[in-house]
Amino acid sequence: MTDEILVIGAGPAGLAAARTAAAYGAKVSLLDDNRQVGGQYYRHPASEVLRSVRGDLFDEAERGADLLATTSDPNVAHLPGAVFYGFAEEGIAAFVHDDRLRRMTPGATIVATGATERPVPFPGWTLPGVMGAGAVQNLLKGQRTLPGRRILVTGNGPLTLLAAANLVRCGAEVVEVLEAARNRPPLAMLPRLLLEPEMLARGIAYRAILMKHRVPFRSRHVIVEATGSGRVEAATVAPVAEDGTPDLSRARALSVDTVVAGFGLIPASEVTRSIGCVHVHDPGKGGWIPVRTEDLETSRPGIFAAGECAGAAGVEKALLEGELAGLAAAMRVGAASGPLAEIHRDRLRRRLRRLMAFRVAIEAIYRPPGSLLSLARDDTVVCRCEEVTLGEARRWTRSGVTEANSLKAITRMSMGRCQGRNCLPTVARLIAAETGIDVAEVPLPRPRPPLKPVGVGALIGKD
Amino acid sequence: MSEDLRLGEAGSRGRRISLTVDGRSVVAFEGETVAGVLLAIGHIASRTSPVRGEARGYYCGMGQCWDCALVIDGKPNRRACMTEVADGMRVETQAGFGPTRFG
Amino acid sequence: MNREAGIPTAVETVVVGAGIIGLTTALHLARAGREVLVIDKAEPWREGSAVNAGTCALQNKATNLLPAYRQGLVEWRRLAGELDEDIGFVNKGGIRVAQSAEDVAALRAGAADQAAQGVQLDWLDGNALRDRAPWLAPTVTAATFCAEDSFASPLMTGQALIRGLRAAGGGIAVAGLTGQRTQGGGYRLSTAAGNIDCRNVVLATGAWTDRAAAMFGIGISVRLNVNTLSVTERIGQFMDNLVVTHIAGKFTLKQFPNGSCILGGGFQGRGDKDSGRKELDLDQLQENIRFQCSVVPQLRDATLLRSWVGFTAIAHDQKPTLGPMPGRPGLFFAFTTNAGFSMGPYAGRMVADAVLGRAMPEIARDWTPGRFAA
Repeated sequence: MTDEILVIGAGPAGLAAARTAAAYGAKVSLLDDNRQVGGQYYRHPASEVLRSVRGDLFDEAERGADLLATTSDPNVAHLPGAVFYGFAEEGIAAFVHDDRLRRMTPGATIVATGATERPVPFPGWTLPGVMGAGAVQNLLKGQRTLPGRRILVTGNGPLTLLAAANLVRCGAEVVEVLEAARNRPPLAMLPRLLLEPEMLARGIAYRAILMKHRVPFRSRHVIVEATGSGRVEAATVAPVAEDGTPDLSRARALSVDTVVAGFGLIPASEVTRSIGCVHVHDPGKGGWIPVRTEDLETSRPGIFAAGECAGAAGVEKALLEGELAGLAAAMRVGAASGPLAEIHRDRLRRRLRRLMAFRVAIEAIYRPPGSLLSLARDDTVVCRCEEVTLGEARRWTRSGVTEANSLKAITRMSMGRCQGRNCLPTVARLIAAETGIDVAEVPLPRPRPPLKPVGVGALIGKD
Repeated sequence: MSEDLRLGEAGSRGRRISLTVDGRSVVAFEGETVAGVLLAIGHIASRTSPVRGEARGYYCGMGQCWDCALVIDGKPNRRACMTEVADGMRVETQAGFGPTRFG
Repeated sequence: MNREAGIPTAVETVVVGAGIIGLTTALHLARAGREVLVIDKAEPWREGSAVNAGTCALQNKATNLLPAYRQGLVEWRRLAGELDEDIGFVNKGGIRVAQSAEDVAALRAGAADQAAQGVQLDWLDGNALRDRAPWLAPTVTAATFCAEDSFASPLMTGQALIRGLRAAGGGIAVAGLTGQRTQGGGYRLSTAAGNIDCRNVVLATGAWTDRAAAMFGIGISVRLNVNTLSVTERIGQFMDNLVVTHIAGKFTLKQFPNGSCILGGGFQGRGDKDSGRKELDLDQLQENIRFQCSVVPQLRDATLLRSWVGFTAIAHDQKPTLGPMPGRPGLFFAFTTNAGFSMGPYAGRMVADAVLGRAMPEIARDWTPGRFAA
């Protein structure tokens, strides 16, 4: 054990954690598989010139410049392009960096691995031209390029609205924006919404942008199908009926070349799941999240989790949690102590509690209707890597294979390069639906190292 | 440049880089990823899938789904969204598993 | 896998262990119309049989056991034909490679030994070797080819066997064995899910055979191996579905029909069979992969998706322990020592026959559990 702190993931939470721990004098190793820090939220073009293109719209990196500069803190060793391999041996963290497998024995680890897009298969979702809301944000923020010419935005949750607003501001032709949820706050939630007036105002501003550009925003609407030969050429959309399924009698066809489908985020909890931390299923936070103490320590001593990987709830929460985890980890390794650190900690805890109260209202507004699995048909590919259809998977669940591990072994679902990120949630929903249990009762296979795919050559070093 | 989907004026995007996409010469800008270039020029299918032979392209945009994988400088299964462009780079649409050195 | 609502209180034969040997033993018994229940401490097909590399080869096996491994291949072929579902059995042959001058000499000597046992081998070097396997590194200077070498998919085989056994009327239950006593000419087994009375009990307990035998008052010592394995993404077929092994040992490699490559060989991780703890050793993993890339350089360009470790057990005398326990009517051992996957279906056949009252074949005389009699 050393007094060094390992931070996995250099997005908002990881950066805030690294900066805070370093400010208290702790030595921090900060790794991320991207070459640039900032994660998806602070994503910015690699070239300085490109950064100035529509820099007026995408100023996250500029506003976060201070945080992004964490990498130049003398207490922070930033390892760009480092793939976290996993905890292979007790207490030893391994990662691949610069074509070398390296290891360290941190005194504390902060997992800040963010979130991934919730996979919601619908007919045609594998066609080129269909992409996630995060994918579009990355294209706009990181490439300053539009995804297509006529765009349908469909999905569920605030990020999808944000992606739509950004597309419109960049001059893209967005034909419609569909939100699957009812999108009206229950009256009881209004006081909670007012807890964070600034964030509330931002949400309203995104809607105003759509209105100003006369882009129709329809709540309780969803995509039914994307079609085209080799790429998206059209989409069918429909209102969501009372039972949560699309009302096909009122379906309409739209001529589009791009479908942005963003059905919310799911926590990237592979690291904490791989080492057996206790997790709970919290639908409002996107799925399985590690159980944590008030100071964000998981059930494994010395392993902290911060940000989206411990509950998808936005960048403000990620920043606060990162700061708190960085402080708590610094206290654990003995770098921070005393009344000032405690005052700092108490202030962060209070701020987090208020923010989470606000998030309850947001979750209520965007609660998705019914089973989104019902969008897929029997011939819809649900495992994009191994190309397994819903019908094939369902044939097995109906013949009694109702355990994720067995279904995986038979169909190869989740054994491909995405390591199950794009299909395990579907597997769980399918098993739950077929056996009449809650997804929270469907145990998922424990992730095995490498927690992200790594090049064979990189694992053994250069010749 | 008016043809493509890039934001801003061509002159505002920095140093030009030249690469080929399926043998065709394509102009890109320093700092762009292969995925960014392909989408900008409307070349949205990166590959055809090995089992069903279906077209696939940029989907997650953050290196996790591998649907944008294609052949870069002769090597198959390279993710377009995670690869920055370089002068003289050869980018090819991937069919199925792509080329093997001895296949 | 659905858990059984409950387990029966009495059954003719209980097979302990739902791996390749246990399930094939039970399958033969069920097909012979016998009442059989397989019990395991956890979900079936989770240990050695499920997480091994799928090699069913001759070339990498000890010469003294070759006839049994050969019978294993016969049974594998039969399984592939008899089960309703595909088990991913592929018989395109195998290639055993040599890199150093020492390797070449050892390969020559080994090939002579195997030929003496009737195994047909082709010697390959120079241009013949390059033509046959252009994907081998130039450092590979000689190889032998054996047409019998094969592999099966551990994942597919397990699922096919589980459903095949159920279809034949056999049962499978999660019920870890905790003890036993003799009862009315048979055994009363205590398990984590309740007691079961049975006439016969078959211990197909793999790495846990010493623990299970001890419950019957029999001392068997086995050494635990914690084998490291890795799988790559699916890549284009380039190895002609050959099984590649190395004369220096610690090397198995094959590309499954779906395109993924399985890198094995038995580099050691860490594990403990009582707690179930299994850990990779990163140095061993790297050595494993470095060795593989030294033989097949193209692997360097592939992406590695998962690495894991699995248990196998080696008997102290490196011999199988198969058949009835003399002086203990109704007690059978079904333990092959190492390479259980290759020989497994043959062991299952022999033990099922023994339970049915048939004599063990001549080949198995040396492997009687009687050698452990107190």
